[in-house]
Amino acid sequence: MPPAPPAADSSVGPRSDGDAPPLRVSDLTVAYHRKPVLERASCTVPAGSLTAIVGPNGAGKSTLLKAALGLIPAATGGATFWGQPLKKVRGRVGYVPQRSEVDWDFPITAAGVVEMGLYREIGWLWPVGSSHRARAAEALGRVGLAEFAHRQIARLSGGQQQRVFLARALVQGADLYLMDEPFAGVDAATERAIVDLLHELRDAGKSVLAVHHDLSTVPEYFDRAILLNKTVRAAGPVDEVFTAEVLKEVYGGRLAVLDSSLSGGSPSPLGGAPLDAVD
Amino acid sequence: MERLAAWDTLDTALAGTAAICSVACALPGALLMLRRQSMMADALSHTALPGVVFAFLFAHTLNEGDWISEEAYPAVQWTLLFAGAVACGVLTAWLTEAVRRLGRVEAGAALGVVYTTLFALGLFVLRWQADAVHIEPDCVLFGEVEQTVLNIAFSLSLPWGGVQDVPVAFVSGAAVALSSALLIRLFWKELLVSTFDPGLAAAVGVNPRRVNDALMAATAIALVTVFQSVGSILAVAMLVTPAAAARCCTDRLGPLLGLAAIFAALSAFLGHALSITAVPALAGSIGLTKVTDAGTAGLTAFTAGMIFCGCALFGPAQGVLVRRWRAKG
Repeated sequence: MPPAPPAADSSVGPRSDGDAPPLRVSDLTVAYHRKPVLERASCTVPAGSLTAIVGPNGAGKSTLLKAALGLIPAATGGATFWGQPLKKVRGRVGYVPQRSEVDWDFPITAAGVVEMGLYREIGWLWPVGSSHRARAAEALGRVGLAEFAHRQIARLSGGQQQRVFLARALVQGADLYLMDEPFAGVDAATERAIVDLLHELRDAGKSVLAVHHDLSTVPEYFDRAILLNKTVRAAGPVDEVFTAEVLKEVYGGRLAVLDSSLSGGSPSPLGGAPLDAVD
Repeated sequence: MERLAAWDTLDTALAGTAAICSVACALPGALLMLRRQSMMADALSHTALPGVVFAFLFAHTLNEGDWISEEAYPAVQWTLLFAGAVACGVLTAWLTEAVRRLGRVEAGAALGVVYTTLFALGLFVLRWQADAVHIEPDCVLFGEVEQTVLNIAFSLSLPWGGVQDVPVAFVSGAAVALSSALLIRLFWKELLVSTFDPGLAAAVGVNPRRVNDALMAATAIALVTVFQSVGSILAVAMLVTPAAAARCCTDRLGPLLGLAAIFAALSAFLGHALSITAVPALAGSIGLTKVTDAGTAGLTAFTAGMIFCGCALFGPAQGVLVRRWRAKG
């Protein structure tokens, strides 16, 4: 049995909790207006892994993350974190939403957004102190945005905005990060910075589950993949599940270009022809 | 201009009351604007009616049934009035959400359905019970700022001589404005996160719906308080206009709230000054020599609109000129 960590120090560092994985989704069904978008999906995210969720548009990728976090109601099933309900381990789970989900015209600075990651720790009614500000500044430094701390968020580029979100998750000191399309619409420099950060997190024993769109970079960026199309079609280490046959099946033959690296095995995902889903 | 030179303590009392009531509206209004719920301002100003009517009826029933003494009557009526306002504010938010979900219509349409229906319900009960109870909806919903100076709470001796009467409406407006400011200060983080990113709010232990309900209740209280003294036009105008003007001038939430409050107060003083100078002058020029004073409330709202135009053009954060200049490089 995994020992229940005391709530007080639940945000400090990674730890092993027996056999329970950081995230276990079981039998998760979600429906919008009675139309199921996700049906009986089950998967796990092992500790210290980088896992990509891939699948065609409308496959329920974001839905899986949101339902696991309880942001949208599930019809059946649910998720446990280290074998426990989310409520008990909230501080250990970081969420990076899609950029389009917030109002970037809001009058707040990059540092202000990052400080929000600390609100849970600070608690109700207490103000943001100078030590919190210092930690927010440090997190911004880690994503290469130190000089933009006091800039209003609308005046950041898309990639910089994405990195602000990452800094906010980092400052929270979570052990598991759920990211909704962290690479969507970012520049090459940001993409590189995010990849480095993901690897840094993994090396520190943390786990990441990210919705990812660009199939060609999956083998380079991630260790594991969950192929989703309404339900989990395949899941496991990238080299096992990320094959042309499985992808064809999941995408229903809608792949425009098949990368040679998948069938041939030579891992040159960035150099090879782009592999993308068409709708 | 000689009229302006003759500005006396009565003018100060009047403009001061309009100013503090404007500030009381501008603070919750700024939060509504940032949450893209400005339509709520309009809606709440209508749904306040059934709240007020039911509160009056209930107070009257208590009084008739000898449940409360004659002395306690005004206090009970006030308490019920606030309770009615809070109930209507929260109810508007809940019903809108329910209609949006059940009817599968967009939020604006749902709000339109809810607030007109609630307003009509209030109107219906008002007509129906008008004979039984002596309700004066006009004085509750359509108060006039000029009349507030008739009801004086206390008088202050001014250090430079003279006595300044402080109207009751000023005191109640100040109470609402100060408590809004205090609540915003206390729940700063919670308001910030639930407005900017409701998804994260849930993750950091803040229920965004509770925050929303609280904001609706606070807005309704501000509206009901302010209606009685300065009328509905001013209240609704002050919820959104000063905040919109402030948004053009700053990219920070703190300064935005401060500026909104300053613009609101400034509009009231300038509006009153306009009403005692420009309006008689204009009226005089077309032969209406008897007009000496006109609608402080209306002119305050008008002045706020003018301040907004100025800020929209010249505001250092979002003004048209600044954006042009930035776009050029």
